[in-house]
Amino acid sequence: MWFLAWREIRHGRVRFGLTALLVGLVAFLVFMLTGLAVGLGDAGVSGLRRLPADVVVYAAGSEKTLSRSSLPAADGARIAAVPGVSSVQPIGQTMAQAKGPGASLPVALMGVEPSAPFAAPGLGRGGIVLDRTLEGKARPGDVLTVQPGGVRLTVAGFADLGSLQHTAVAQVPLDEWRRVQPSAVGAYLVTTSGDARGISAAVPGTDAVTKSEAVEAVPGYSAETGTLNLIRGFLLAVTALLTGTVFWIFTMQKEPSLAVLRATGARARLLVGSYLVQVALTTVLGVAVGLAFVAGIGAAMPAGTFSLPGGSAALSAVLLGALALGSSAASLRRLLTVDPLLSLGRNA
Amino acid sequence: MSTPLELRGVRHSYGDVEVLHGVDLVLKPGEVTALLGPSGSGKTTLLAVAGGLLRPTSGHVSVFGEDIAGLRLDRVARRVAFILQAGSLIPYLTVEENLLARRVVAGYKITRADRARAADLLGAVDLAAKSHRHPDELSGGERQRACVAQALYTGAPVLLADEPTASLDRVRGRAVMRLLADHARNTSASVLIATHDERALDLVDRTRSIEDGRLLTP
Repeated sequence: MWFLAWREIRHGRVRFGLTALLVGLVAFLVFMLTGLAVGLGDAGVSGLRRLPADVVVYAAGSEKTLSRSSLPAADGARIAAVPGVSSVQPIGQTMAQAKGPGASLPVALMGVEPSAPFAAPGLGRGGIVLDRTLEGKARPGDVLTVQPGGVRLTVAGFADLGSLQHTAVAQVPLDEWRRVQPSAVGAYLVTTSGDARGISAAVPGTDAVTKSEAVEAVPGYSAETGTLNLIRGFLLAVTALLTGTVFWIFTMQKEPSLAVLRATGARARLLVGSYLVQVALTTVLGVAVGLAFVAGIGAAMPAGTFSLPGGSAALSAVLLGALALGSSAASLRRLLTVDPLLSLGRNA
Repeated sequence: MSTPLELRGVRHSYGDVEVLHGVDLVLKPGEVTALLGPSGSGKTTLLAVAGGLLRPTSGHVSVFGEDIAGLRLDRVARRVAFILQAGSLIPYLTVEENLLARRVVAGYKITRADRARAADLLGAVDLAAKSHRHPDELSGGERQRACVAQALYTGAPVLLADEPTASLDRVRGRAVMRLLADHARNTSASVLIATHDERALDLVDRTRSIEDGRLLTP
């Protein structure tokens, strides 16, 4: 099958090359949107994703939003008493502005116990640790004034804290956070072998959800990723339509050759195999072109907006390949029903 | 030895129109038979039925004693090869590759011996210098000779040719007919040539005439 497939591609290299380029352009858009969905999504929720928890306990009525949630300190002990719960960590979160000598930085201020396992190294009384993306805008030892509250904190260092709602996370001790946001606790991070509903039921006034539900509930996250994924879905459909149509036309154009091959005894396996090799090669080349484009343009995108991990890229590539092969299968019937009599001329 | 190709009482209709009316024909080993008749007389339909491309409405076609009605087309093609007309070369293959494709279609891998045999046959039809050209780089006559070489290359014991000299001048036409006649004699192949070109009939062993779908008595 390679014999026929490759020689036809070689002879029609402009035709197949243009098809691969078209697939490549659509693949590029698919990869770009995948990268944007991952990158922007990550910028919206990575600060929450990185916190170790099975369940996040919010105040009832807070719409599962950290910055709106406020719980009494006593709830910590109540949650810890729920069967299955092995660890409870209080946190608080407020959107704030940190003014320093060099710049005014918007931050997602996160109050944590300095003894918590996820507290940034060096976090202590009067200190603030900034996400690494803010390196260069502040230096260790800088004194930042956090608004609201006018609380003065010293930069203790930088860590991979992520971001929330596209704003870099800054960790402060919970006591310092309370000076900014007068509240006992914002929410609790819980490690448990039980389920979230059990905690809500056991501790009145709380709304406990799994961490993935908490991530989905971050304001704007679902709408943002949903929109990008919808566009990505449309692009995948365009890929299917494009490859299906192009190879349908190719098949129609080569009916006389197919008739000759059938008349000389070519079996279905050879014809289908050659055809699918062509579709696969064109798609692989197109996907490679798309990846090459996206590698170049993705590198030039602003930090925090684009991220294309290997797994996401591979999944998109497999989807593109599967759709190309699936849609081109529409031509198989035509391929297999070409009348060999055409090889003798229609007036036989 | 069983008969290479035998048609018994073969009829064929396109819809309500019968174009072959009970044809009986036997091809013998090593013999070239010319099937003469004007356009529309049923020559090509007879070839198509004989080669398994069309099923007879009634009657039987057998190859070496086996009724081809029960055979898949690829099995028939191993024993019966068509010499197609000039336009039927595969355009994306070179002349040599058009020959080699017959081996690929038959399920074989290409070997050096296959290439050497292809080169010999292309030399025999005076196309050695153009073996790496594509069909659209050849003249009509060259393409027709390539089609002949392609069919000979299969080594099939029965060859069916549809107007193999149609696009050739007298000298080239005779050369092709001589090639087919020599092939038949050297390999005991049976060759049936549908033609209305009577310039080289001295090179065939027998002629049969067809008119309105009926073979005339010799």
